[in-house]
This record gives sequence, C-alpha cells and structure tokens, in this order.
Amino acid sequence: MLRYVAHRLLATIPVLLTVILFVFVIVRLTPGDPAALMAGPDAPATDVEAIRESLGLNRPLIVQLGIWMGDLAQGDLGTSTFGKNKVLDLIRQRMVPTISLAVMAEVLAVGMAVPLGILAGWKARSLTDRGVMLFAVLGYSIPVFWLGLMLIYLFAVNLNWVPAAGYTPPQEGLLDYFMHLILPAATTAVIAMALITRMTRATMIETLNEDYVRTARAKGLAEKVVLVRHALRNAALPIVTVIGLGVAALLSGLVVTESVFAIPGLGRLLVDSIASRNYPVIQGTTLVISVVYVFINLLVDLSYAFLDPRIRY
Amino acid sequence: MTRRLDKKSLGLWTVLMLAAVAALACTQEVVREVPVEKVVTQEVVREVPVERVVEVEKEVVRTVEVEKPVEVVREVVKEVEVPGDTVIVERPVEVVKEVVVTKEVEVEVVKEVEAKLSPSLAAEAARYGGDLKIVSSGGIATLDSDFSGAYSSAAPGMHIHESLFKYDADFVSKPELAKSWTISPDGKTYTFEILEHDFHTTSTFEGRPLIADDLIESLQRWVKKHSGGKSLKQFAYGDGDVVIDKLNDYTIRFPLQNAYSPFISHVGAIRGALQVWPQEIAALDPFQDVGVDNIVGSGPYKLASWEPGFRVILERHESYVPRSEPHSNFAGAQTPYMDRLIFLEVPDAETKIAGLKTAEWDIIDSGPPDAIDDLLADPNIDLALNVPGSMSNIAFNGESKVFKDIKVRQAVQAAIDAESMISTLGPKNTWSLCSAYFHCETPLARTTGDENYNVGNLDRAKQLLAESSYDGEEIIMLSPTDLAALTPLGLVLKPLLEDVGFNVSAPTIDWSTEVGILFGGEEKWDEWDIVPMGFGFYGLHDPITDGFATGGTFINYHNDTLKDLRSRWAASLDPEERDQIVDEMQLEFYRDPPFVILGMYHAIHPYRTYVKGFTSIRGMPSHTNVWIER
Repeated sequence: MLRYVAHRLLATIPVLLTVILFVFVIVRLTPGDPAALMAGPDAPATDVEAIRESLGLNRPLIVQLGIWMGDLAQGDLGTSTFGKNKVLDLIRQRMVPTISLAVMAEVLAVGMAVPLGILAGWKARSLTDRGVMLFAVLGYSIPVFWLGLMLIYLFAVNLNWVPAAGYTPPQEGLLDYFMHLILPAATTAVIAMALITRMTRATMIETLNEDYVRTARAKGLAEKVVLVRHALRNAALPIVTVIGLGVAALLSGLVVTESVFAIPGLGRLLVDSIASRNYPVIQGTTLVISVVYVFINLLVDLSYAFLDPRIRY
Repeated sequence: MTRRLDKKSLGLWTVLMLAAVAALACTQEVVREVPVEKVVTQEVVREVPVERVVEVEKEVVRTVEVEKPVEVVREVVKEVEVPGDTVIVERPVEVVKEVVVTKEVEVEVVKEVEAKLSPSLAAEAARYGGDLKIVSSGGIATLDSDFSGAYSSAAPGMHIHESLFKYDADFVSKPELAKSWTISPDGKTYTFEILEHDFHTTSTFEGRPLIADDLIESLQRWVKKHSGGKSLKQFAYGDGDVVIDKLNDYTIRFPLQNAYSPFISHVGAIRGALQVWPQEIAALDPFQDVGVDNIVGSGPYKLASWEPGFRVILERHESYVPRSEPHSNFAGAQTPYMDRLIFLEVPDAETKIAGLKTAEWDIIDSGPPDAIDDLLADPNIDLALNVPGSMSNIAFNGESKVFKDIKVRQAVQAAIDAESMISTLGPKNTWSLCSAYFHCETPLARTTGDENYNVGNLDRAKQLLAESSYDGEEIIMLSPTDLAALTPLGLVLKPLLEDVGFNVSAPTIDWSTEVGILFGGEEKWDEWDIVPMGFGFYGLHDPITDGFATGGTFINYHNDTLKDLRSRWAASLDPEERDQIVDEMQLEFYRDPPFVILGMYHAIHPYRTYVKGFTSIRGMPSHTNVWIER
C-alpha cells in the first residue's frame, strides 16, 4: 500500500510541472495588461509603464518563470500584485468558505441522492422511479445561477427564513455561519444530487439482477437487508467515485454559486484574479486546485480497498 | 468486519472534509487583521454623556447640645461651734447645668445627576454607533488608492486619509488639515499651517502626531504620482524640483517659481488628490502598492481588517476631531457616527438587490440601473444619484490613420443623437444631457459651442465624411461585452457609423482585454480606432488635469491651441480671464473633438431608508455624517 501511495505521489510531480508551465504561459498569452487595469482609465501612459516596470512585467518571460519556480521550490507561491498579500495566505483564507460549502452540499446531496437512487433502482420503471428520474434530470439541467436566485427570492426575500447572501466566518457565530451556507449549499447540492441519484439507480438496477441477490432473496432475507447489505455494498464503488470526484469538482467549480451568494471562496478568487490579470494569484490558485484534484483522486483509489476486500495495492 | 467497512465507506469523505474545514478554520491567522482592538461582532453604542455634578451646600443646623459642665459649689454641711468662733464645715457638690448653644456646620453633599441634554444634543449623541454595510461598486483589488486609480479602492481610502483640502458639494476646495493659509499677492508663495491631528494606531503602526515632515513627503509622493502634483511641478516649478520649506512642525511654505492658480483646487480633488501618509510610508515607491500593513492615515476611519474578495472593515478613529465648519460633501465636519464601515464584495447584481431588500446590507455603491423601478417600489429603499456622474462619450484614437482627420471626427460628432444613445444606458433618471467638456454641475461647466452637441444630423455627417480623407477603409470599434455602462453604446454606435458610410469592424471583446489594447502603447495603436467610453468624475476636471482633453491618456489627442490656453489659464490670477479661457477651450474642443460627448451617466446608490444623511452623492459617496435610525 505504502509503495503504491509513494508511486502515485511521485507520478504527480510531472503532472504538476506541466500544469505550472501551461498556466504560466497561458495567462501571459491572454490579452490584457495588469498595469493598465491598476492605473485606471485616466492614467497617463507613463504611469502605466512605471507600474509595469515595478511589477517586473517587462522582464523576459523566461526570467519571470525562473523567479516563480525558484520561489515555488521554497514553498512560496508568490505575492499578489494587488495589496501585497501572500498568495498562499489568500488561498488558505478562501479555502474555508469553499470547503464548508462543498462539504455541506455534498452531505446534503449524498443524504438525499443515495436513498432516492436506491428507491428508484428498487422500484425500477415504476411511477416512483420515473418521478425520481424527472427530479434528477431537472436538477442536472437547471442553471445554477437561476436556481440560486429563485431560492434567494423565495426563502430570503419573500419568506425571510434565511439570509439572502453573504458569508459569516465560523469564528463570528456558528449559527450565522450555517444560516448563510444553507441556500448556497442547497443550490450546489441539486446538481450533485442529480448525478449521484442517477449513478446509484443505475448500479442498483444492475446489482439487483445479480445471482447473489436472487439467492439472498431466495433464502428469505428481509428486502431491506438485501438492498443495503447485499446490493448497495456491491454497487458502492462507482457511487464513491462519483462522490469523490464531485467533491474535487466542487472545490474548484463553485464559481457560480460563490458569485451568486457572495461567498468569498476559491472559485471567486480565481475568477477575480483572471479579471484583474493578477498573475501570481492565477498561477498559485490553479496549482493548488490541481494538487487537490490529484490527492482526492488518490484518496478515492485508496478507498476502493476498504470497500472491496478483493482489491489490493 | 462488514459493518465496520460500511461505516468507513459512508463516513470517509465527511470526516476528511470536516477535518480539513476545522484545520483551516483554526488557521485563521491568514486573515490580515490590522488592529485587533474590537471584537468583530461587537456593537458599541456610544452612551449619552452623564455629568458628575458636585454640589456643595451650606447648611445651617441649629442643634441643642447638652453640656455637662461641672460646677463646684460648696454646700454647708454643718456649723460647728468652737470656743470663740463658729466653724463652718463645707463639702464640695457637683451641679449639672444645661446650656443651649448654637453652631454653624458646613456639610458637603455630592450628587450625581444625569445631564439634561438639549434635545438636539441628545439626538446627535443617539446617532453614534453601529455598523454600516456598503456593497462595494466592484472588487477591491487594493487599498492603496494612491497606487490604483480604481473607484472601489478610492471609496474606503477617502475615509482613511486626509488631505490639506477636500471638495465640498460644489466641488470647491475647502480646508481639511489646513488650519490657515496665505497666498502672496503675486501668487508665488503659499504658506499653510496645519491642524494637530494624529495618525491611526494599527497593529503595524503606532499612532503619532501628524507633522510637517509627513505632509511634505506626502506632497512629494503626490507630485510623482498624480496629475495635480505633476502639473504643479510642470507649471509652478518649471519642471524643476518641487521645493517645500518646513517653517516649523505645523507650518510649510511653497516658494513657487511661477504663479499657479489651480494649486488649492487640485490638492482637494476627490480622486488623485493629495493623501497624507506617515513620512516613512509616503517615501515608498508610489508606483508600487504600499501593502495592506502600510494603510495608515489620519482620517475619521482607520483600517481594521481586509479579507480580499470578502470585505474591508474600517473602524472609527477615536481620536479624530471633526472640523467645526458645517459638513458639505468631503469638506467641513466629517463626523464618524458609525462605529464601523464594512465594504462588502458582492459580484452579482441581482444578489446585491436581494440583500438590500432583506437588510443584509444597507447601501449599494453603484447599483444596477435597470433595477430602479423594482427598488423604488420598496418603501424601505430609497435612491441617491451620483452627481455629476461619469461622462459617456465616443472617443477617438488620435493616432488612428482615419481619425487623425478633423473632418472625420466632426462627421461622427454631427451624426450622433446623444439623447437616443445615452438613453440605452438606463431609465431617464440615470442620465442627463450635458454639453460641458469639464463636466456639468462643476465650477467649469459651460454651454459654449453646444450647437455642435446632440446634433443627430446624418446628412451633415455624410457631407463632412465626403469632404474628409476617408476612403472606405475598415475602422475598428472596440466595445466590451461585459460592461453595462458601455456595452449598449457599442450596439447602437456600429449601425450608426455604417449609416454614415464607415466600414466598421467590431470584434467581440471583454473589458480587461480592451484595456490591454487601449493602454498597449504605440504597438497597439493600429488595433483600435473608436470606442464608446465613460470618463469617471475625479473631481479635477479642469484645463490642467483633464488628461483626456489634453493628450495625456490613451486617446492620444494633441492640440497646440489648447496647450497654449491651458498654460494661460494656469498662470492667470484673474477669475474673469480664466472663465473666458475655459470658454475658448470648449469652443476648440467642439472644433477639433477628441471625443463626442453623449451626456452624464449617474450611478445609482440604493440604500435602506433607516440610513440617514445619505441623500446626496457629489462625486463619490461619503459615509461620514451618515447614521442609522431604525
């Protein structure tokens, strides 16, 4: 197992190096000038040039890359062009809301989707199944920003049950923290829920047709036991894979939800930094997201061994 | 075994993620909290002052005191007869007597009484306290408003830093740090005495008195960075070193080489104004961000914390003493009623509105104009309009082969029906027609030459184009797809130009990319010819500092007549002559247009009606003298 983990970790190095180079080149090929954006539209060209020079943007690309790689080797992701904040600090700060939102959304999604998927698989081709599938298709099709705004107007503006938007850090009040996350988590959960429900249903239908399930029923086991202990356990691998990848996708893909609900998360950090051409933050954030993806994939792979004793690394 | 594995599979992700959240939540030191003097959620209500009154009463007390003086009298006990004489035998007896005496005693009575405040003073005291939550106009990329010209950076900065002067509601400079000042009759010597104010205390800076050294270094920074300061160097010092004499800790003097009348006006401008920093910070490179640790001023609010992408929290500067003059925009008494100003970043326009309706926040800085009807229908929401607003216009690239020809620019000027174009930006109350090159509602607003404004005469335009050197070559119109104040203008401009006879190419482009091209310098000059544009109001639009009109900015406009006129205007000490020069300049602008004015576009600032003192926005919103009255 340890050897496998070490091998996988080593294999991430070329992946990450490729990401670093790719991102570095792409952001600089993108049109737009951070110095001009900083200076503002009324600034004379001489000021823009002075800012460009102070940021080192007029140095050759290879020199800029060398400086960044050198800093990276020392664990320094660089300093934001604006505000002189450390990029690592910015990312850590933004991870808390994003992880909070992702976890809450995933717990909601799994909590709803797995029972619904089992139900739909068990009652396949029934009215219940069709109802659940309609819900799943709708959930996957509805645009996140539209759903978010509708939830805000219904539950915040009209019913006044939850805050409309914004974020409260946990250290400033846990209740407020949770209340602010309910709507964005529900909005985000709908898509994940749809995906997990469909996956659970499909694998359950497949598993329920297996011989060992027929045997379990023939020997008189209760249907609940057949479903949970025999069918669900054997259907778990693809479901866990979808859940794991869903978490990774959520950590980096919450841009729309974070924007609609004004959550200061990682997705918004990336989008804002692209809009302002804040190169160090774009590079640092992309690198961290890549690392998260790699590690979550690794964890998913390792979890197979726990779920299926036949799998050995 | 099976059960154990099931639990693991179900709880694995939840446990991992919760652990990660907990770990990150515990490492909150990444939040750059500058001063940690107040608990973030604490609301401090300023108490009504209670007077301690010591009353000394003189009380006359009449008391009956019983004294027991011992009077020795002798009582005859017996008489003894002895031969030849009679002997009297006596014995002493104590007799008690009661005597009435009168004494005066002084008694000191200390009473604590609640001061009976006058109703107006009590109402004033009740305004203090609470948080004001303001949704920022955009992302706050930096708090160094000297470094960045961005409006969203300047909005908090205006409350942090002081200047020598600041603009009042009529955009006239009024003293802020200046206690008194004199200008010599020849206009060449300015002497300023400043008030005794203190810098903020933050986690990285120990507050101390602001003295002349700080002011001089800040002025030198202003000279290097901002157009007002650069013009001072150019016109008043003949491009030589800007000499500022320190007379004492609170008095400085400018020995100018040439008379320079707009000096005080420029110092007080709303943006690009002088900002006073501590000397050591002012000495840093003005073309680099000073960094969040160095955001220190002496204004009514100080930086408490900044969480990029989330919020900026300013706290009241407790030792700040407002001026005694009446409040007027950024001039006069800047009373910090609110304990904290919280600038929030909310990217989505619909969410901004929803949060205002649910009182999640109190003010939106530059709200979406298409939401006006919806907002006004809510009895708990009111609107303030930003006056004079930004100038919507169609700008030409002065280095474009096509638009170098005055006739071509005049053709576009003649074709444009300003009203129909600017009305695409929003409802009627969000824009106004204005022909003044130096912005309407300002001291330099003029109507001279306005027969060439809002013409909308296609025939005249075609005729002018026919008389020009234009030969059907393709012109590039840049219009971003992601900026509400510009996108609609491009959609209308392209067909209009084609109607006049231009061959127009309008590539799809986002604002960031467009900015890169406009500011790309000489190598990008051939990538654009004409753009819809909005020139924000910076409070310093005059013949000297208005870079758009005088060739300093990306539009590459050059006009020697205007150059001469601005030099005359700068040196003139006669107000009438200066007025006349402004008229002449405006006429020249209409003859040789650097851009075509459409009118003024007023950003809307919706706010909850419990927010008081926020009815008038002149240039930028000021959040001093604003309070909450629920």
